[in-house]
Amino acid sequence: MLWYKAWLETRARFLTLLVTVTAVCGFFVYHGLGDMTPNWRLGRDFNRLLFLNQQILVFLWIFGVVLLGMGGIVREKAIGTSSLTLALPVSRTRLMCVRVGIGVVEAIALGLVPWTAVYAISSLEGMPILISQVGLYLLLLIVGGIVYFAAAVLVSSLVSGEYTAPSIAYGAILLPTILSDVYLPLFLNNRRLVTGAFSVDTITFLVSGRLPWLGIAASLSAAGLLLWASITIVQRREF
Amino acid sequence: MLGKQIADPEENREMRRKVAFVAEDKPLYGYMTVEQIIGFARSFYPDWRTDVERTLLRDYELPARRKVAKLSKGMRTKLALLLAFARRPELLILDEPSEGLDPVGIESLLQSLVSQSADGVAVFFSSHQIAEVERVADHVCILEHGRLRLDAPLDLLRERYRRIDLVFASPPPESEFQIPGVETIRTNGRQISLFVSRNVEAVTERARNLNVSCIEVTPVGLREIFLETVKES
Repeated sequence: MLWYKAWLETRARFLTLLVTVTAVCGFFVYHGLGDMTPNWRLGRDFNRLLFLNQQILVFLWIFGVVLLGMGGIVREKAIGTSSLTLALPVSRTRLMCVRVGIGVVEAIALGLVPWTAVYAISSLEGMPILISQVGLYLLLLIVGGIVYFAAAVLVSSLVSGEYTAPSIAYGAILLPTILSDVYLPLFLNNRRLVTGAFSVDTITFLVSGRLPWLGIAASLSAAGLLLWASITIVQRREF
Repeated sequence: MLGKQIADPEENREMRRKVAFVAEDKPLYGYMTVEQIIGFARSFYPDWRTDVERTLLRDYELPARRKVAKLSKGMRTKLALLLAFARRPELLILDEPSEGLDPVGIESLLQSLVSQSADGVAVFFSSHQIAEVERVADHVCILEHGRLRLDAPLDLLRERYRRIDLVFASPPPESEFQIPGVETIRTNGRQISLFVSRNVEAVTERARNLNVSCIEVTPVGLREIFLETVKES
């Protein structure tokens, strides 16, 4: 039943984010389709529209997953319920794993549902949307973006403030993103990985199946490391 | 605790299964409803007593569908007690359990504590309401600023502690009563009042030898024992 607690804890945040992100993406694509004239090179411009949708979705998705990563036992200590949670006959590791598990599922849904809406709108409008393109965008979003969720979980294991924790998490994500644009080798630029900039063909605006596996591996490893650090911190911390 | 090593994670988890703790501020998840939090708690304890849950839910008149965040302080206390009582613990630790309860709720709580104790549950509770402690406790500890001032069975305290009021024509010096067991001595004109934890016979004998005109020995309640113990320190 720990999953039930984690779900109830994040339900309001998750559903609000899901409706907002889906509405924004749906509106953007629907509006973009309306602007297309017969003179446009239909396939290329439509693919570009989907690419731009991914940029918007990435921005909103990162904003969302940081909020979904907030909470946990450190926050519970600040609001006074940690003694109830820690008195349960379960380990702190399990508490963390369930919370992370629910968060990951919600993060996937936060990418899947908006893209499903975009697919449905495009199909209804008679646009040539490929399910494989949606799948690739989604894959890049999840596997490349889960590191942002992991960063948020780590911050929430260190900082308890309701507003301080997300502020620090956004800062911790924004700063490396800016720095990586300037200093890091291109293959380690996670922003380009998640938005699909690495994989998209600049002429057709189709995402190719040749994915940046090195970047994906680096991103997933970083996410794993951050989550492992979060669990270790919570295990060792005095409450 | 309960034969388990607290430092061992596995044994600690087993120990937590057998211990119910209700903290002073009654921490509960505000985003759950009453029935959700009961269902959540129930899932962790195989020995959960559904009969106790149903009885207390009815007796405490808890609204099953209401969010915990919207409950009054008294209702929160009742819900926290229900969660503790229904899980059939071996040890029940309660910190100021009657806080927020009305007299009817307090009466019900005290009866529940006695009933839990009769079922073999060790009940350990802290309270500033001495009358409540005196009604249900078997063993009493008095703490002051984190230091243990007194630790004894309540029956023994009742049996041993006495207030001795003495009236003299000409009161003797207080030092005459510095006998083991005399905790405090107060002189007020011709009257000397002693608070005694033992040796009552020796004290009255000394008073008679000092030509006392009137002796009154009265039993004392826990409240007086508490006040004298704290004052003394």
